[in-house]
Amino acid sequence: MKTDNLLILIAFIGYLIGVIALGVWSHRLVKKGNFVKNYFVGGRQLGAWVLALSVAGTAISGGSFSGFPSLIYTNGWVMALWIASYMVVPLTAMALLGKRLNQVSRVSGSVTVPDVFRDRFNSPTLGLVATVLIFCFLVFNMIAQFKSGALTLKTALGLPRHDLIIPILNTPVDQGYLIGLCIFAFTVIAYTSYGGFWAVTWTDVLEGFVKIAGVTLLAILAVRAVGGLDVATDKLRAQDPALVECPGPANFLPLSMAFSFFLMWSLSSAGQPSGMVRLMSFKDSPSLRKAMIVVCGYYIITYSSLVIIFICSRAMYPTEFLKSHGGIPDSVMPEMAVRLAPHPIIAGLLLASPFAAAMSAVAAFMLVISSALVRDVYQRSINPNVSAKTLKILSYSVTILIGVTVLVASLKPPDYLQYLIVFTGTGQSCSFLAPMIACLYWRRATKQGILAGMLGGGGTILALYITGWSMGGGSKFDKFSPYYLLEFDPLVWGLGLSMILTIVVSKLTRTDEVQKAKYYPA
Amino acid sequence: MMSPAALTYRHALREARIVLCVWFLALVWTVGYCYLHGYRHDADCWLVQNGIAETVPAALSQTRFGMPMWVCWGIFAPAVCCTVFTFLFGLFGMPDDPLGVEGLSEGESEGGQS
Repeated sequence: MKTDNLLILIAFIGYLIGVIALGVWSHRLVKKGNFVKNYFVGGRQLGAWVLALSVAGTAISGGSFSGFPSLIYTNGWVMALWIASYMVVPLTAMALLGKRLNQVSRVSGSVTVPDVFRDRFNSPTLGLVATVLIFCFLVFNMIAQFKSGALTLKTALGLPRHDLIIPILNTPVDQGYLIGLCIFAFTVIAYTSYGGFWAVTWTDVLEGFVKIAGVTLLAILAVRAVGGLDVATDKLRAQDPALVECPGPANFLPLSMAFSFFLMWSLSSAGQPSGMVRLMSFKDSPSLRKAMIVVCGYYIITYSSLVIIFICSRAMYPTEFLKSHGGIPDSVMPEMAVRLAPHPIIAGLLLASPFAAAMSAVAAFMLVISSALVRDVYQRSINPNVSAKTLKILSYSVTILIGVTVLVASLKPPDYLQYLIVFTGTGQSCSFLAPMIACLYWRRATKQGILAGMLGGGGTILALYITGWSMGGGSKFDKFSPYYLLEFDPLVWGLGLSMILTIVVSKLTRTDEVQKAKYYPA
Repeated sequence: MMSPAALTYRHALREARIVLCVWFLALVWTVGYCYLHGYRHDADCWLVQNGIAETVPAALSQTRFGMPMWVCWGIFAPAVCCTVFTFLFGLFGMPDDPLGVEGLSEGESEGGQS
């Protein structure tokens, strides 16, 4: 191994040790009081900074640091429009549901999102359906995050491509990717299962600082390297005028898709169960207000920096990471970190930012899935009298089992991480956003309406993606792309149908007056 | 007299409505402005014929702060406005309400107690 790679690795290992140490420290907090509430929602004691950085940490995932950069590099300035709705995400993801969701979950004693639906309508069916939907969509998302973490580590180690044949898969897998995948998986599974919610949130805080420092520094280095943002934009215009115009190369973002993606990011953030769990966990209203302000500043710095970095990278390396030229688009972020850093130690810390992004998202998702299985399926549906000891063992072992399952599934993941992230994010928000808004704010909502909204939204997304895959994909991006009905993203149809079904079916059925009185006091 | 829990609900509903209004304004401005100034249009398009848009918008070839003009006014400017609004809303627009005491879910045992 070269000296530079060794120094990068040392910085990286230092970061990993920090993360594991936080996981061990958090374990002490889990042991105090009610295990389930501490392990899955931190005893509802999150303050402003921890809430802010854990919300941002979950939202800015491996996709933001691997898939999104590759799309900016490939498509240029149009990606600013693609991601533009993050300007309102702090409002939609926190102020829209935050206060009321926290209030309802306290009244009912809910610990998970399926819990909220189940308790608000006194319906075990709703809880189980929500659990199944969460499980289906989040597993796909975790595969994308594992791939992102593995690719970053492979670059940090500087490992050349060397294919291995894995007997079960019977297809070649890059050895460097495999090593990165195993280290990533071990770290994140270890601290999440051992420390639970507190480990996830405290590592989110560490990762949050690493991410924002990393991208800000990288943006400054990139602009300096290219000679200014003006120069970068002019170079892009010279390469291909479509890189500075809408809809971008190959009609990437027509008006219908620009509209769809504005809805996508602003509303899908609000509809993610992993984000909703954070909103159930803060300790008081001032924490929510202050966290929203912090998240707002955090998003604008992070996403502006990401756009600037990869506009500059396209200006500096016109074709090197283009798939059409034999490059690997998803590796542009780690490659930029290594090439632009003035010192290998700084390169190691810069590389830690995409790694941190993937880690914080995976940890949050693992906990959402394990809480859904342990709490909603086992404790509340199979064995309500389960002992504290059994619950602990189950929580630890289910979290580990989920991590290992996704590790195996990630051995041969698809290209273009961002589309996997989009699929899962869309699926979750179409399943949960409209039903959750109705659950929290609409007295007239019924369990039948909520169920119809969940299944209608999630089912629409699945149907449009399966249709796209069976037709060989939209061909514009990848075989993973869905069927764009009337050129709108599936989110528009899923969300619309979910909303309509929730309202219409609720209107046609009777409300539970006892539940209504409990959650809507005079 | 309204109970604290009812007041919290009422405030949360008001905040949700304000958020949806801001979201809608940001959507209309960002997508609308970028469509008019960031996309090329056919000469026979009604927007061009009514003088609302140009076939090749001037904003495509102009740069401000290093970014194309349509990005500056269509995305950067509303993003700054939304950021300022979020700061002000967080500081002055959301009352501090009590969130209630912790309940116990129906069908839940004390099994989680250590």
